[in-house]
Amino acid sequence: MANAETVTIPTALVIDRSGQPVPNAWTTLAADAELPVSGPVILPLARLLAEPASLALPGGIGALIGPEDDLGTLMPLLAKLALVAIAFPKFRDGRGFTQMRSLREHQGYTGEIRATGHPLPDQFLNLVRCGVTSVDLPQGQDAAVWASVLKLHGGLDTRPVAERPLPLLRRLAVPFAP
Amino acid sequence: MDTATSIIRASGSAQTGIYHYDALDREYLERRAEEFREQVQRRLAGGLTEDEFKPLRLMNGLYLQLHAYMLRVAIPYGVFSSTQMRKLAYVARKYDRDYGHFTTRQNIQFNWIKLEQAPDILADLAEVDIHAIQTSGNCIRNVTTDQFAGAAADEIIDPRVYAEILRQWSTDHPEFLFLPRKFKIALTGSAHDRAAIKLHDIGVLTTRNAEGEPGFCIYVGGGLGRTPVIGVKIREWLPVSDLLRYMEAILRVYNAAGRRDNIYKARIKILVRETGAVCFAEMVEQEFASLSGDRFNLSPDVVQAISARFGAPNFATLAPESPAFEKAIVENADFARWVSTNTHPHRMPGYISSVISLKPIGGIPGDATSAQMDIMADLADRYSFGELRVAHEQNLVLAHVRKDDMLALWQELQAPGIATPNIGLVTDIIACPGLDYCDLANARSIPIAQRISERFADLARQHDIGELHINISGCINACAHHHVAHIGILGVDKHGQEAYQITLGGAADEKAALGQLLGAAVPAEAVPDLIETVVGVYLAERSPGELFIDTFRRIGMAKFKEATRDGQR
Amino acid sequence: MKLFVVTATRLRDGTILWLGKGRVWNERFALAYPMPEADLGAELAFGAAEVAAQRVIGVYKVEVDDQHGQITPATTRERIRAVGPSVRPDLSYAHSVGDR
Repeated sequence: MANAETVTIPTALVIDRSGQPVPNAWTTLAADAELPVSGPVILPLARLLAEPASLALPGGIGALIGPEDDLGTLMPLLAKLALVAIAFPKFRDGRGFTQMRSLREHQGYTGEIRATGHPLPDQFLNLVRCGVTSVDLPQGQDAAVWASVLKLHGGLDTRPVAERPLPLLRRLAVPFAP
Repeated sequence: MDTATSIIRASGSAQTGIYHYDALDREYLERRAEEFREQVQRRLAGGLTEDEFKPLRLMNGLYLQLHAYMLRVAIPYGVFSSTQMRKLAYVARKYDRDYGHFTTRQNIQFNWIKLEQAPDILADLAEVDIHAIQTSGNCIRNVTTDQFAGAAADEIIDPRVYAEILRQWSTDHPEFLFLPRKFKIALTGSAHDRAAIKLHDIGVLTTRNAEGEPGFCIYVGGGLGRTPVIGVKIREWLPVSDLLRYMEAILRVYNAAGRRDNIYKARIKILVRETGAVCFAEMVEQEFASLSGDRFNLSPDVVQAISARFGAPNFATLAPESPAFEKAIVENADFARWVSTNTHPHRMPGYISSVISLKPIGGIPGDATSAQMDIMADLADRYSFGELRVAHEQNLVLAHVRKDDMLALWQELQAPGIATPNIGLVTDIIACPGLDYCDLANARSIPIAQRISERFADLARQHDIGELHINISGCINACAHHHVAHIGILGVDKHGQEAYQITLGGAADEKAALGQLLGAAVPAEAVPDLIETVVGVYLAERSPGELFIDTFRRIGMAKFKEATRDGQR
Repeated sequence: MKLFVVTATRLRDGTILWLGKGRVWNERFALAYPMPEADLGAELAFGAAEVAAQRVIGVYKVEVDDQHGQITPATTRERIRAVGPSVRPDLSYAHSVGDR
């Protein structure tokens, strides 16, 4: 048990895009930890690039992207990744939002996009609108607060875009409807 | 009755110039106010730290200043209705100390706000379709344009429509709320720049291409502050339909590549400088090409739908000249003096735009009491289709006044003390709140403005001196745009004492230029004498009809330095 | 010997506060309790605890000049915080009637 803690970064709680806690099979491998025999496991991008063989790991492989990482280097690997974790080491650093949209909208990535690090519940709707699938909640954060933030905005609005409380431009031209 | 007309009727408002909200827009504002109420509760209960809460409150316009919280309320592109003005007066009375401060970014600030009441204020403002969204924080701020938008004779497009489109695009944009630093966009509807567009993160100038089609010329990387920079052109002509796609491209490049290691190097101007303008433009063009043209297409239908939400003034058919107006000018020298400075030509025959000065002699630039706000709202109803504007010079504008009514309007402006005939003159001073209110300031700004204003109180002398812009900032953040004033004054902290640096020769128009330093910083009490000396040099050197800035451009700094050297020893 | 007082801002309404005798927050600067810098440790620790309890934010020390027991902040900025905006004497804190 102690050994497991030294090689992986513990995951507190994962929620889906509706704010509900979901089972999590993924572990995040620390930068210098030994590769397990099977996944699903999330590796930092630099390590994936240095050890391309890890892409063939049975059980699924994911990439951890930091704000400084160049998404261009990730693109050739994208088809093999079941999950991309976007790190928000500081909630004020909004580069992750652009990374998410690049993956989802410009690269057409359909796998799981997971926010990690220290995003705030108040950023939940923005994360969802940029294409997030799940959030690895920061230690000590309450999933209920995340769900309530979404609820305040009417939850995941399923009405037609034209009937949602959005500025007219978005009702007509549709950029970024949640 | 078309949809837009029915919306306007339904809102019970006949006011023109403002963008009329519908039920869904109102639902959004109510939701935002509720969201902030919940965030404030979470902060007070300890669920959010100050570090976490700060960007959230800033995104709702709430700062913590020297004496209290300060709320900056958006007046999108500076246009608002008499109903909205009355609500601002109400907020000043109920939640503040009976006054507000109109800013250089076409907003209004309230200085004495309690955090626990801020959500109530936002809910009250939402009742009349106004808000404080994105008036602060590292996001896209209130889009500004010129104060004569939709009334000026030389416009190619109505900039309010495109400023509103940019407002809707940038409001709550999920990708661009946590940028490296604040982001300001200015847009002007004509080829003549009245919105200081080259001093903004993005400046949009409207031009026609060789085929005569309207489009936009795009500048980036302008800004004042610690590192003043004039923006550079990165696109000569952009089709109107591609405006959002191009904005999206610039913001994506900036959000991904802008520096986040140093707050003083985080503005887009530093990215443009470090990357090189040509290379930056290429990055934007590459991003632009990769974005879907369909998705971001600003089609004529969409523009038309947004445009239809603005009420159009129901102008009467009038003769271009008004005999009553001409007669009053001949017979009343005081009125004539006011007309000569406080008006701007209107595109409609028989109409004129009138500027209400918030710069009484010895007063606080941009401040208005709630009583004055109520009076201005009434005057707007009676003389200008219920519409008001804030000019970035911290004055207000009634844009569509009949020339026939001008004398009556002028007479009504006397009692509340808002008829000072000084627009563009030496006492029309732009000043930031400075150390009297601002947490960032190094020195006071307002008392300096008051002393200069008192020194040049004589109206005949002011009019003789002619157009002369003095701007005073209390710190290097340059909220009063001192770098681009004809005479710029910057407050600095010199060993715990307030001191003031003077620059000459700046300009904010299409000949935008940064002022040059006159000499070492001087103490507050020396400033009026120094300004007097500078003005004296201009008066002695000017050719007939030459303005201060023209004389400065012709003769340069030397004579000004020579004349002021003694005073600085 | 230089003297200091401790100041903060009340979280819920933004009011400027000065730490007085017995570690009580006051709205009036005149009630601030000056002390040598070396003695400030416990006062600043109290301030930090008040921040943690969501009562105040922005706790820091302010140098004061002492003239016959009458203290004044040493900098212009703090004098303005103690008295109110210099351009609105009608809003001066001198008119305030103690703590609410």
